[in-house]
Amino acid sequence: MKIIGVYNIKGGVGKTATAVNIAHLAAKSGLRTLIWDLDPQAAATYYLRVKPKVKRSEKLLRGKGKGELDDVVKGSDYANLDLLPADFSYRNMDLLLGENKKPTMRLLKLLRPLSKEYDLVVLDCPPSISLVSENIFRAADALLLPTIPTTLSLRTMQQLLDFMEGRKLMTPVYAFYSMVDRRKRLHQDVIAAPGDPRCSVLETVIPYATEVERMGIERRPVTDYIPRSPAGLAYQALWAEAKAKVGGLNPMVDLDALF
Amino acid sequence: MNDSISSGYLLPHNFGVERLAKQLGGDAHCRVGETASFSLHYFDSFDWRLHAAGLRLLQMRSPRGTVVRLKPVAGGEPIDSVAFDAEPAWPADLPDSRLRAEVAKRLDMRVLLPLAAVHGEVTDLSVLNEDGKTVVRLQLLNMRCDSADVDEPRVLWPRVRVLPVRGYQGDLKKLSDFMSIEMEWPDAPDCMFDEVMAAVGREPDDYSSKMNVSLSPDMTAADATRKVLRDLLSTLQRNIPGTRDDLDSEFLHDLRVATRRTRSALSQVKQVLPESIVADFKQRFAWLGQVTGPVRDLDVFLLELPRYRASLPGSMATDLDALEEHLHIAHGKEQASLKRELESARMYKLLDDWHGVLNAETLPGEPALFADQPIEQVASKRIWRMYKRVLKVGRAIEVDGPAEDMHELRKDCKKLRYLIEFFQGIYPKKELKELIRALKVVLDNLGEFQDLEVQADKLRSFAKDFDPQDPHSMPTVMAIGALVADLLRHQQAAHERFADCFHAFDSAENHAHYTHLFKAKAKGEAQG
Repeated sequence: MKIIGVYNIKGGVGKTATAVNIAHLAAKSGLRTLIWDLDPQAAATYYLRVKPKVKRSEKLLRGKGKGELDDVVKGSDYANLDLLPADFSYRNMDLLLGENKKPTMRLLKLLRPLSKEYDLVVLDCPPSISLVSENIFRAADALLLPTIPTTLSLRTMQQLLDFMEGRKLMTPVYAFYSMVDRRKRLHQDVIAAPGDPRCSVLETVIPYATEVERMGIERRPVTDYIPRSPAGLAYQALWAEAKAKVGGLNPMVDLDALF
Repeated sequence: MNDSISSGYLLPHNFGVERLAKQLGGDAHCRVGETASFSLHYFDSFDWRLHAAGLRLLQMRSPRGTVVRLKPVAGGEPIDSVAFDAEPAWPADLPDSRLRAEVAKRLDMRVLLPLAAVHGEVTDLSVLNEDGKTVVRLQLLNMRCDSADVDEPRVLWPRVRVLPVRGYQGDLKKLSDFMSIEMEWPDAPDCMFDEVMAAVGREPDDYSSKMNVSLSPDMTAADATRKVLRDLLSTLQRNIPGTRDDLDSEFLHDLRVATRRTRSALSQVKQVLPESIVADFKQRFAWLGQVTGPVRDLDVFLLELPRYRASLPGSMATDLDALEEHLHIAHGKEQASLKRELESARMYKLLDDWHGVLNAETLPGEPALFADQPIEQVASKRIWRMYKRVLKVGRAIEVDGPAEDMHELRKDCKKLRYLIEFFQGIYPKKELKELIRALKVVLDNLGEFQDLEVQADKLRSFAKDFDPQDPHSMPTVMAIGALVADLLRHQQAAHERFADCFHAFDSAENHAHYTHLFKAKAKGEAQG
């Protein structure tokens, strides 16, 4: 099982759209995929038409009681794609995680028992840099970092890389440009400029597109309802690139179990 | 998930996706998704080596790509999977992986062959709740299967596969009840393997080179012997296509073993079949043994070559390249001539005539003396006598005695082993297993002794094909010399181990087994 965290300190950079679309593509390719909506805003949960409610979620995060993630997983509308829904209690996640003996390892500990059931876990992370983020960095095999090509966004990227360096966190970080408007000179300049050597920048660029915004109306991934659109194609390219970087993701052919 | 819920149901024939969707409540409750084609091939060696190791190898082709997967026969998670588009044959062709290592370990010198293929279409359906949320996923499957053993594809029963969506157990239960109770659709088996094999007329372990003929002690000697010989003929015939096409070296090996056993049965089961028949077919099967010999000798060398290389100092290992090439060229020539012999009228007539003898209502000519005696007596007598002979010859062997003594003993031990194997059906299995094991220790030692000598002799004759004056050939000749010396050293060691190996065979315990199993039964019939 591989774990990919979709993360940025900043909000509104296209994290949830990325997480939902690549999780959908992974599932479609035959990988048994779980997306965990860690953001109390519950956008990923909403997109996948599941109710944002997790029984005993506080106990799970605190490490109290016998509950397991396995009991709260919900299937999506798509083959091979399951969801761990968000819960409003996640707004206090830092406090809840802090009650564990090893507070920075709690998410990984919760995910481990699922390793036989899933090939891939996609974490849709809340913005900010906190105990939750550190849990994510420690659990993930790779971080995908959607970045709007603006000066402010680049600053938050530096903050993240500094933070990781300070904590000696070796998780590979793959940034990519998101919500890109090719007509804007600033976007073009930032993309052309050399990036921070501590993280690799993927080649795929996700364009700013209304079809991504429409995900909220359709309540489906772009890669499902309009896969041949520019954004749909861009997410496919992004997934292909990310999959190759992470490695070890050999799809199960769904029908195999029958034979 | 509730265990009582089936993973799928068999549907009436011609039950298309529209009818299924309609049964499930139409558009409001069911969404029909895409239809995709797929094909799947099962692979194993001719003698089911993967199956014997509890493994199943399959290649799945679908729009998602082509994957080769190794699974436990018992079910559960696949052991390993690799993307591989060509038809798997030799493990060495597969990508370096755990799958390759596991398969190679089990197959040894055998090649993978396709057992059966399944071609099908799968249509996805989603069962929806009142919110339009998918609560159960279904797959409608229509499949056909074929193999080299059937003339036209066999249609499999259409079925619907139920794929639970997590967190919606209630809906799953409701749907399952609908399918099983209301529609009365029977449960589909969880795994297609048995159904596919049955459809193409195969079953695991339907070929084994080991003998296992079921006999009863009171069958007449002639009937029992012919039954054994029919089994050997069937083994021989099943190995002809693979030998002719040189699929792997084991086909020829098994063909030769069946031939040798047939000859042994003809000469060792005395006065049971008419003398004229025995004399005729002994000579005709001797011909088959002879024409299959040269390719087998070369096979042995090619199989041993990696070991030969490993036995030489590293700097000399590549000096055998010229020998390998020489062996391959010779193999190609001999294989072509073997193919001609196997396709010859002589071969065809041998098998046809032999088939006639083994299946005839009555045999021509005078019935042999013991033809109508119970097989238990005849077999016991033969085994008991051969056992005593092995003891006598074996006890006379000396550590520095001539090699011929060892060769003679080996022949007798083989005769004894074959006799026991032919008629194993009439003796208690467990005790017999012990006997064969003790005998095998001696046979392995004698076999090693002889094989090493034969190999050394053959290598010497190969060396003559290279000119020692030619600077290109010289390293090859020297490497062969080093190999021969090494082989002869090992042969000497095998000779020295003989006494210990035979001692275990010549034990009081083993003797008690032979006495108990064969002596008394043989005596009842001593007048012969």
